[in-house]
Amino acid sequence: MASKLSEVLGNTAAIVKGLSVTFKEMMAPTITEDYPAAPAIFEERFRGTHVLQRDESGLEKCVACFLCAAACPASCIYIEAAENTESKRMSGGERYAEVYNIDYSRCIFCGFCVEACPTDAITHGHGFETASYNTATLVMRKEQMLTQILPGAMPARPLGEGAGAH
Amino acid sequence: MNETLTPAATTEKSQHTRRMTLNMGPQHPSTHGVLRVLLELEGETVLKCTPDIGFLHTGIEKQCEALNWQQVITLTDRVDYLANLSNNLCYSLAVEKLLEMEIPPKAQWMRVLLCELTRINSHLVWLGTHALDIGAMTVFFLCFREREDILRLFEMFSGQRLMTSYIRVGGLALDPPRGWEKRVKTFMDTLPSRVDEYESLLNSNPIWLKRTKGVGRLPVEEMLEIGMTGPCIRAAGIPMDARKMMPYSSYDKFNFEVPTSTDNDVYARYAVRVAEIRESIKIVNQAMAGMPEGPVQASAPHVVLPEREKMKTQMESLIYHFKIVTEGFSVPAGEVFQVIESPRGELGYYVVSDGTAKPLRVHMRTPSFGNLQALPNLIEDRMLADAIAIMGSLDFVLGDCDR
Amino acid sequence: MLPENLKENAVAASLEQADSDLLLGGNTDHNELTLDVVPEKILGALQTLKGQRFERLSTVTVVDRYPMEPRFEVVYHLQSVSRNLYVRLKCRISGEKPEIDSATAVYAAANWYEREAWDLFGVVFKNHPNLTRIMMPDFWEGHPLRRDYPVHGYKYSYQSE
Repeated sequence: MASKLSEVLGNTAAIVKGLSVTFKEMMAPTITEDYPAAPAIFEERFRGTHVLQRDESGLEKCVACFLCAAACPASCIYIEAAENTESKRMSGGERYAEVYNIDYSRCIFCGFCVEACPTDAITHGHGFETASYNTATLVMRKEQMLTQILPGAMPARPLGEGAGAH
Repeated sequence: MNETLTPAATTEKSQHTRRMTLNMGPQHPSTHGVLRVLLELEGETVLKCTPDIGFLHTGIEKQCEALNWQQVITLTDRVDYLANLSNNLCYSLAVEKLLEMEIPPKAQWMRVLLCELTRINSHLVWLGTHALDIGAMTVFFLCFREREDILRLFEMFSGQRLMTSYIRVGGLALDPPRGWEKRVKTFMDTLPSRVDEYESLLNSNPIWLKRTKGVGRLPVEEMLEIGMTGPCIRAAGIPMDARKMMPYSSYDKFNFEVPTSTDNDVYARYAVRVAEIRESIKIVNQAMAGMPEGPVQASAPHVVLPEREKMKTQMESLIYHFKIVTEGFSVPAGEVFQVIESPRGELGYYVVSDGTAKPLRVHMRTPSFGNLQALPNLIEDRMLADAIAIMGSLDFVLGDCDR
Repeated sequence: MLPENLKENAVAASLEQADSDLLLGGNTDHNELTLDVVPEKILGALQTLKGQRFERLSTVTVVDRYPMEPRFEVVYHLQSVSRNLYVRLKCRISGEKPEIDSATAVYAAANWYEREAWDLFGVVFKNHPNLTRIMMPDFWEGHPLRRDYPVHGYKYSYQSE
């Protein structure tokens, strides 16, 4: 009988102890994030969806060297290169990427393309909400990834035809 | 089980009970992944247990043969999704051995620091889910609170919380970010008191003790014979730890103990893992205190990508950059079996090169595969409820097992 | 025959002493002991090593050297915990009829590793208690880790699109 009683008392003490943690945590500051209501918090280096950069004169940095496509372990980058001409200048180099697609249903966000890029044209942004019911919508085009030229911004020298149209 | 609580009628009838085959999994919360276990039951006693694995087989070893040496790093991340950096490290060490490459001290110490953080992370997930299986839900929330901090640290270092790809052949992917010391130190200062908190919830909890003490014993010789490693074998009294036995990445310069126990039950495995968290905290603090200065990448222009500054200003560096990215680097022909201590046990990478830019064969000797093989020996002729506790105590990750 | 450079090695010498026709060669590249064993005598080699406190079999795997002949290398890694040693045994077997004795009689741990090797390479382990597929589904045809099996499989190819 005495052992039964001590067992009951012991169990009660354990429950009280457990609940004391519950009450203590109730008073403690919240550690969870308020994500869908508030923006998600990222570290600086977070590897999200890619951003294609422009140089200081508003031209695309990508010179279509295909290094990112070669470095990609998932082979999800597709590029078609074209020559810059006098009338149509898109990038600072000789060539530019006429088509630049990244298939986000294959991309593993490893960052190898960013390391490989010799002109810092491709970088990781902090975008991450790529989920979709239809994989066909997961192929991102150059126009979707290229940084916008802010309205009213004056480029250092006149833009070629087509650049900054988006 | 308290015998007075078992209805007498059941024990009498059990002579005539029909045998039942129970399909546990593949989608079962306490199989910790996609594992199917076929259990033949008589009453509540398990007569026969047949684990069925392979549901997560993704052909990683095959894919390794199609990628170049550096790209394989991204696949090693995906082998054991709770110990990514340990897998990165093991593969890198194997390839570096084939290349006979010297790794600078700072990179080695950073690797130790990151791998110990990985160990803490993995043990926290294990503790939380194992306690949840047995019915202690609070521990789960507390463990995942600290795990979130560790994942944030990984994100700060590498840019990803899980698939870090931070340890590369030749060193690290990037220099550690500004202010990392402060962040890691803040976390390390709070962690010991948090571990005390978990222990205070479990160590004297009667339900926890009754379900773990004396459960899941197996003779030590049989455990070695069947291929069990890691905390399970250390809880059986054998101080088998690759960090001490064949030190890699400067582990011999750190001062730490290998916790062991001789009880050889589920509780002992818990105690050993919690003690390992405390040892890992010691190692991380030592690594922080004695962090050497210098580069984090080896000076091997044929293997490691040149610094970005040099690549943009020097023609030679740019040529190397193009060569390494497009062709990869070739590794001298040979074979290496590199063993490290992952949170789950002995992790071995058997890497064979034929002198080209792609591996001929990458075989992963993963700890989960070896530990899971012992499952029938551990749970046959025991109660079904004990099977859950025993499976939890093995700490397998099915991605690690199936590859 | 024991090569000249391994005469000093205790493990190699003990195997040579047990059976002088057992070893074909070996090396200690990268400070790792590799011994080439006659495939028919692998059980004897494992038995001898187990008697020398190599308590555990770490892993069994296969390397496919296609199109070279003998095509398959069955590789065993043994560890002695008390002596803190690893040893690698290697048996070269032909691609025509890849067969070797199962190590399960000596080390119980070989069970799943040999099932995996059979599943992925098609190497038959004789006298294995349950040589069935372990990774791939039971109805699978072919052995995916062979070098002549395409990485993307036969059913769907991303490359051909």
